[in-house]
Order: sequence, then structure tokens, then C-alpha cells
Amino acid sequence: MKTLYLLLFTISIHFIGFSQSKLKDDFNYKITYNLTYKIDSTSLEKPKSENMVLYIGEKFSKFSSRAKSLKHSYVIKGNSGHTSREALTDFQYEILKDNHTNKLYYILQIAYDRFYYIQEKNLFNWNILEEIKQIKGYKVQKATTSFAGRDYIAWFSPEIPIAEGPYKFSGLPGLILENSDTDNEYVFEFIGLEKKSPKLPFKINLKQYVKTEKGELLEINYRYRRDPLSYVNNPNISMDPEIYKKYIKARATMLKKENNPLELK
Amino acid sequence: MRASNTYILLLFFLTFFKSYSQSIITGIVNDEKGQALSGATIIISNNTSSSILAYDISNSLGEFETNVNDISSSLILKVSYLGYTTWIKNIYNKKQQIEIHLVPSTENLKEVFVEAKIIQQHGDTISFSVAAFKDQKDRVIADVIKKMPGIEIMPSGVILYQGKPIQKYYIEGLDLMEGRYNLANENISADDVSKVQILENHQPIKILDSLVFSERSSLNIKLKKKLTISGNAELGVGFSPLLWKAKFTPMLFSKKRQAIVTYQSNDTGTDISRQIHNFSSENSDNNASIEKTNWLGLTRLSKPPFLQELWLDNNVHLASVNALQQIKKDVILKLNVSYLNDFQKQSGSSNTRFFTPTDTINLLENNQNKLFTSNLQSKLIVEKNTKNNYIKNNFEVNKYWDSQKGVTQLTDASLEQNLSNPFIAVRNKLQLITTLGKQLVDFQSNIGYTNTNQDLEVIPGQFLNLLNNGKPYPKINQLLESIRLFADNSASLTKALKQFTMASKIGFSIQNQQLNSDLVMSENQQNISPDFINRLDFTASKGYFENVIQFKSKDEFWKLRLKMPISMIHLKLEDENYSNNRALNRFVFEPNFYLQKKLTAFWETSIAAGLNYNYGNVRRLYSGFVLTNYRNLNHYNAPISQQVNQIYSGTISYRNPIKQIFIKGAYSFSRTKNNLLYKNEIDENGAVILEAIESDNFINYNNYSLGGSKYFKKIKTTIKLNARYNQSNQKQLLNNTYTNVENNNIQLNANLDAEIFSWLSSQYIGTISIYKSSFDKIKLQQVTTNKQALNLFFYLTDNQYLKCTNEYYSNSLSEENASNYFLNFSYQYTFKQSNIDLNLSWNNVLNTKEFINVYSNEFSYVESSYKLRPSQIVTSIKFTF
Repeated sequence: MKTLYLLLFTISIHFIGFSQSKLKDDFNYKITYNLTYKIDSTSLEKPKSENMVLYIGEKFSKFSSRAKSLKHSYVIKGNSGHTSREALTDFQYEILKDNHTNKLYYILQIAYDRFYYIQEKNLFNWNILEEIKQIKGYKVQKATTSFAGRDYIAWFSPEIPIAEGPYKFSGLPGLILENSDTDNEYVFEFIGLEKKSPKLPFKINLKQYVKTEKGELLEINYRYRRDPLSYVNNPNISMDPEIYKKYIKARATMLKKENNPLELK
Repeated sequence: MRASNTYILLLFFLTFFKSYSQSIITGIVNDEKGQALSGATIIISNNTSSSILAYDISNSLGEFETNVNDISSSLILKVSYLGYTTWIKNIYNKKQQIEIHLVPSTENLKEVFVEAKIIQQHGDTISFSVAAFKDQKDRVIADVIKKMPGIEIMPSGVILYQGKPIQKYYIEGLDLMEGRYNLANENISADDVSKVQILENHQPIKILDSLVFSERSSLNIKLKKKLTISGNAELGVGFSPLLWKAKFTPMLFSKKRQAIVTYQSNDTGTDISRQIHNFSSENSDNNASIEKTNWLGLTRLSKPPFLQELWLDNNVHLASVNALQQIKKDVILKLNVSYLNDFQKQSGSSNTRFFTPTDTINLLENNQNKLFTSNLQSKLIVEKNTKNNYIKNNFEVNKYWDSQKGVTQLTDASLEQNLSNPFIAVRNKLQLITTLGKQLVDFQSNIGYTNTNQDLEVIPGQFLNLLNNGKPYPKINQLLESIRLFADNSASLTKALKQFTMASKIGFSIQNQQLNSDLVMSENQQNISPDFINRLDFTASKGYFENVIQFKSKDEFWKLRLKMPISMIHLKLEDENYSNNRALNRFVFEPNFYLQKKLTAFWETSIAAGLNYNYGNVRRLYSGFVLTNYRNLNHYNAPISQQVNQIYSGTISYRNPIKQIFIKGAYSFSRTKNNLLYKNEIDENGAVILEAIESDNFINYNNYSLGGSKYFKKIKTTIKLNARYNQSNQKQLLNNTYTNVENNNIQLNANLDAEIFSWLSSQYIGTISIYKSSFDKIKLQQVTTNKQALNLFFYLTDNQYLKCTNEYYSNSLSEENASNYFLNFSYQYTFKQSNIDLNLSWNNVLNTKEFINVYSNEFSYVESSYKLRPSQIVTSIKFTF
């Protein structure tokens, strides 16, 4: 009985201990990018594309695929039913940037589990160049950087005083409207800017998330993608080992085609 | 990078003697009230060009710091922040600190609207190209579907998507199979299918679309051609004795007309009746069930808990026709007819040990049963599915012509039992969904009729003392007729309000059941005592109003469900035997509460509580004796039974996905109050007379379970351990003595799955069960059963596969043959060029003759042996056309 009390006590301490992990903001701008990407290096001539959105608030910005953003609770109202579009995106992550603490949270939900890892927000060493052009009526200036094994050319607009950008990119004196690696394998293009009125409330409680490291999260995600069933560990599911073998093989073939991620290292 | 910077810097120093002046300009950005603004952009440029000399972003204190390397004497400092007027000032190129106050501005950023065509509304459809998943081994579409991400097929044939059963199985958008989709899934050739679509959150009823959210998914099979005629066939032979296996399934699919016909037959022990099983969840309502009920029966043999091919001695034929015709755009007509004929033989013995407070009675039986099954099931469905309303009418007729023959050898006697138990059921289900004002209303109407006329003949006569003054007599016949009529009509509506969902249902059901039974001892018998006759007319009516409230928090960390059904129940029983006619009127409230809370990312807990009432079931209401099998004589000469159940349960679970550790613990307690006590009178021959007497009593159940699993990455092995403990106690009246019967059951499971090499994987399952019973203070012998299984799977080459299964069973009760060991092999070879599979299986390699199984009842232990099929080899080929 004593051990039980001790356990309960430890658990409750555990819960209370995380009480400061609530991140909260109101988003007032929504920026939409079109991402053209080549995730399968064996068929580079066939790029895929998806819309990605960046929400801007006072303190936080949040970047995710559009499909993922629709899934998030603040879009669901009443009983309008179509949620679960998550399966329709190749990018399940959400990236939160905190401009007060200069931290970046990379958030990923795998099956029932929600994970995150933290990085410094200032990951980039930008080199601003003189070149100027127009994108959708905004004056933009060229900048270059290197990140995770690729070199990038970005175009930012000093007319939009938001030091943000798509994916993990940020830190230029103006919003990044276009960003592409030099091989054109990941190309973010600005397609929309919308003021949200009323503002979109945003809230996230990190105590509901499992903190991990980048390498570990990649490993967990791979394990899940290779074999979701044993990851989920549902005791009600059993599979004929012969079928299981085929299934693992099919999954492995599928994963082989996802060999060209944005971050190469 | 760093090296090149140094070079550049060096170059600068070498080229110009005079170095640039470096000015550090720092500052702070505040709003008009002096509050720090973080994230403001600070750009420093010179007068002559727009090029950016230095920049910074203000930090959380509003501070910035820039290093300017330029020769010009004056600079332009520009500070911008979203929602504020940009601040521009000419400054000297020297080290300085500046405080900036920004003024709010109403000017917004110029909006850029996303062109509509760029964002496509996808819906919730995911398509899988069959070609991408199919390999040469795959014959039927089920083989391919199994491999698609998120989809699994259970051994029973149920398809799961993301762990949940699918709702509909469509072929070209048409629901031909109505839940019996296994037949289609295991027969459509993979080559004929172009795509498999998953309709996530699919709402099959158009009028509900976008109003009622569906959590379930459906599956749609897209065919390659407009008209597809295909099929497959399988033929097999084996020994010993000579065995056969045949299956022939032609199919036709077009946009408006679809049909699947199948004929199957075997005597190899394969159960093909599962092919016509219905997996749809629509049939969950008890009141409207038309399942066959068996009132009378032969002495049962407990079926072995493993592969049917080892023990099922059958001779089965199944023919089935499923046809669908689209009449109008939104109207579909469906017909499903199937006929099953099976002849099964069972042979075995059982040793039953009855415990009474005073005595232990042993009963040894040797049974030879022959079961003849013959049934016709048919269903006609008309469905209209439009945006304005939904109508589905489902008319079913099922008829069974079943009979059984058995010979039972007792230690000093032998007896014969003949049973005929035909059954007929007719049911009509109508569902109508339409709008009433702004609200959707769902009307349901079920009406049905069942009739069974059963006859059990036992030679020679039994229960001599009670029935024939202790004198032997040649035979006894139990005749029983049961007629049931029911109707259940209801209207329901659902409302969603933010995180809440409320569902209400109002309805009325009525059920009338007649039971006529006669116990006949000889053909010219006169004046049977009314004790052995039943003429019963039972009517149960119920008006009900149910409310269910569900709540789910936005982050899904809280889930709550509260059910609050109230009902008015009226029961009326007219029984010629029973002096007072029995009736009951009750107003009941049956609340049920469930709460789930995710505590952290790792911990989750739930609690539930419920209360419900059960009143009078005809199967426990008749006052005249009924011989349910040769040694059980039951009657319930008592008021209508009333039960009150309370159930409480709680769970706590921990899942650590990083370390792959899962632990779950659960506890549940239930307490049932009965107004009737069942009195068992066991005579020295093991014959049981069951009676009900009025006396309040309680049954308590406690269940504890704890389980966990861990995945070991390095050795690719998962280990699972589970423990379960059940405890129950209740009062019983055994041979006129009140006893407190306590049953304890402990079960321990261990499970290990390992991928040893890429060509070899293995699976181990171990289960130990311990039963302990006690009567008052007397403890009975403890029974332990033990099961171990080791399965090895060899993936020899791409087209060859060998499976070896080993199973071991033992128990502590049997004196001889306490342990059984089985070994089976199965080998499959696929011809890469043609669509042919060759399968070779060798079951029961060691030719084990029988299987011993031990189980316990409330007051008896049963040790039963079941005769197995001899060692047999079956070879078969399967091809598609």
C-alpha cells in the first residue's frame, strides 16, 4: 500500500511539474506557400506538390502542411465532419517558432503519440545579396544560406516585417517569400497572405507531448512507418506471419521511395 | 566556411591599408507605451543604394545589435514591426545606442489571395494502386489489400483500417455483399482490380453527409474493365482416407449489375460456413435478433481450441448467389441467397465430476454424434439513397432443417438420442432517414417472426424415479414448439454542439412468445401430468426514451459519455400450469457513465460505472419440466425473474513509445442481485434437475488484469506478458443444501515474436490457467491446464514458404494422456509464370488420436476427449480465370 501511495504521489508530482508547458498565442496572419518537392530520388522528373501554411502570431509562428492545419482543432467547428485529412499529406510535422525564447519546436504525431524536439531558432547564417525582384507585388531581396546538407537561395521581402519563413527557415529582416535549394528539390513559393479576423486562437500543452531528440524521433518514425501494426501494439490485431512478411516488404519498398528528405543530415 | 571567411577578411586587410571603420549600433525597440517589441526587423543601409549593410531582429527585451562595416559617414536606420508605422532615421556611422518608440498603424499588409484552383478539395479518399502492391504470389484481391498500409485482415476475414473494422465494402461504388464481403474479398482476382480506395470518415448515407461525422472508413474496389467476368477455382485431394476439396467461384461486375456465385465443398475439415458470415454491425440489436435458438440438444462434446482441419470431421456443400441490380439512379435491389449442407461426425468421451456439499459424483460418457445441417438463408434488400432521404428495406427469410443423432455409452448402459430441430425466421427491417424541419430524424422499424418445432427422443427412458415410479421404460420424447413475434419501432435524432453530441431515441417494442411443450413417455400415453406440459403465452412490451451525451475535449484528452435511458416495462405471462398469472410493471432508469482522461503523453486512465435491470426471459420462465438433454430436466416454477446489475471498472495504462514499453492494468467489479435462486438436484447418475425458487441472492465478480509488452530493437523481438485473475462467489442450492460457491481463475500468458533471420521468424505462445473452486469452507482440487505453442516460418525463396507449427497441451486432472503434442507442416509453391498456386499440407504428423480438454463449470469439472482426424496430407491447386 505504501508503494502505491508513493507511486500515486510521484505521478501527481510528475503532472504538476509540467504546468508551465502551455504555449498560447493568437495568430493574425496566414501565409500560404506551395511546396514542390522530390521525395523519391529515383523519380526526380516527377515532383509532387502540396500547399503549406505559416501562421503568424505575436509570439509564435506555426508552420505545417495545409492538410495538417485543417486537421487541427481550431478549424473544426460544430459537426462539420471532414477532418482526418492527415493521410493526404507527405508532411506530418508542425514547426513552432518562439521568438521570445528563440526556440524551435518540431512536433510530430505518430499513431497516438505526440512527440517534439527543440532546436535553437537561429540555425541560419544568411548572406544577403543585392539582387532584387518582385513576387506577387512585393519587393523581395535575395539571400543565401546552407542548411542540413543543402544550399538555399531565398527571397525575402523587407516590406513585410516578419522575420519568418517556411519550414525551419527564419532570421531575415523580412518574410521569406521564396526559398529553394540549389538543386530545386525543395521549392517553397509564396502564393497567399491573409489577415485572420478574428484572430485564430492557438494553444498547445507540451506536457501532453513526449520530448525527444531529432535522431531518436527519426528512428521512431522509421520504425512506425516500416511496421505501424507492431508500433501501435494493439493486442486485438494478429496477423498471419506469411502475410506479415509480405506487408513488411511492401512497406520497406514504399519507404525506399522516400529517400530524399529536406534535411539530408 | 570559416576558413574562407578568414581568407576574405585577410584579403580585405591586404588590399586596403586603411580598414573599414566598424560601428556597433545597438538599441531597444518599444511601443508607444514603452513595452518591448520582440521580433521587430532592424535594417541599416546607406544613402546611396538600397543594399542592406546590417540587420537584426529585436529579442524578447526589444534589444538589437548590429555591426556596420562601411566607410560612408551617414546611414539609414529602418525599424519595422507588424501593425506599427515603420520608423526611419538618418544616423551617423558611429558606435551608438538608440531608443526607438514605434507608433501603431492601422495599415495592413497587402493581402494576396490563394487562387482557388491551386487548392483542391480532396475529400477523404485515399487510392492505392493495386499494381504497386501486387506481386506474383497474389491471386485474389484480399492478398493485395492485406499489404496496403493501415489495412489488416483478421483471421475471421474482418477487414480493419487503422485498427477499426471497415463499414462498407464497395465494388465500383455498389455494396453488393452487405457485410458478407469475405466472399468477394477472397474471390475477386487481383488482376481485375485497378485501384483500392479507402474512403476515410465515410458516411454511406448521403442525407447524413456533412451532418453526421463518421469515424469509420469504407473500402471501394475499382475494376479495370467496364464489364468484368472472372472467377477462381481450387481443387485438392488428400489421404487418408481419400479426401477432396473443391471451390468454384464465377463473378460478374458491371456498373449496374453485379453477381457473385460460389459453390464449395470439402471433407478435409475446412469450415466454409464462415464465407457467408455477416460482418456488418447492423445486427447488434438483441430484441430483433433472429438467431437460431436451440432449446433441446444432445450431450455436447467440447470442441478442441485449435486448427479445425485437425478435428472437424465434415462433409460440406455450400452454394451461394449474391446479385445486385441498380434500378434507378439512387435505387438498388440486392438479393443474397445461400444454401449450406453439412454432415459432421463427432466422437469422444467425457468424464464429468459433480461436486455437491455432501458428495462427489462421477459420470463417464462416451458419445458418438452425427450432426446434419441444412439451411437456406435469403435476403432481399431495396435501398434508396438520395440527398433528401434514405430508405432501406431488408427482408429476410431463413430456414433450417437440422437434425442430430447420438449414441452415448455410459459405464453400465447405453442410450440413443435423436433430435430434430428445424427453425424458421422471417424479419423485415425498415430504416428511413429524413429531415423534419431542420432536424434529421431516423425512423427504424423491425418486425419479425420465428418458429421452431423441436423433438428430442431418448431411448431408453430417463429420470425413472420422477417419471415412472422407478421402473424402466422404453423411450421418452420431449416435444417443444416456440413461436415468437416481435415489433420494435423507434425514432431518433442527434444534435452536435461544439464539443458535445447529444442523441435521443424514443421507441416502443412488443414481443409475444408462445411456448408449448410436452414430455411424452409412450405413444398411447393418456393424461400426462401437467408438471410435464407447458402452454405459455408471454408478452413483453416496453416504451423507452434514451439520451446519450458525449463530450470530447478539443485536444482529445478528455472523453466522457453519459447514457440515461428510461423505460416503462410491462410483462405478462399466461401459463396454464401456474395458478396465478404472472405480470410485472416496472419503470426503470439505467444510467451508464464512462470517463477517459489522458494524463500525460504516457499515462491514460478511464473509469466506468453502470446500472441495469433484466426481467424475465422465456428460457427461464416455464413452469412445467422440459428435458433439455438426456440428463437435464429444468423447470422454473417461480415468479418472473428480476436482476439488478451494478458494474464498476477502472483502467490505467502507460505507453512509452520511445522505449516501446506498454503496461495496462484494469480492475472491474460487478454485483448482481437476483430474486430467484436456482436449485440443482444431482442424482447418483449425474442427472440434474434444475428448479427456480424465490429467494433473494447476490453474485459478485471481481476481475483483475495486468499486462505489458516490450520490443527489443536489437534482436527484433517483442515480448508480451499478461496476467488475469477472476473471482466470483454466489449462493447456490445444491441437493437441498445452501452453499456458498466460490470460483477462482488465474490465467498467465507469455508471448514472444522474433524475426530471427530474414528467412526465418518464430512465434511462441504459452498459457497457464489455474481453476480453484470451493464450497463453503471445503476446497476442491485445483485444476491446471497448460498450453505451449511454437510456430516457425521459413521463407525459403520468393515463391516458396514453409510453416511448421508445434502445439503442446497438458492438464493436472487427467490420469492418463494428460498431455497432447501436435505437429503440422504446410508448404506453398507459386508458379511465377502462370496464375497457379500449389499447396501441400500435412496435418497431425504424429497421428495423435485424441485431444484431452479440461474445463470447469459452477459445480463440476469436465474432462473431455475428442477424437481427432488421422494424420492427413492434402494437396491442392488454386487458379484464377
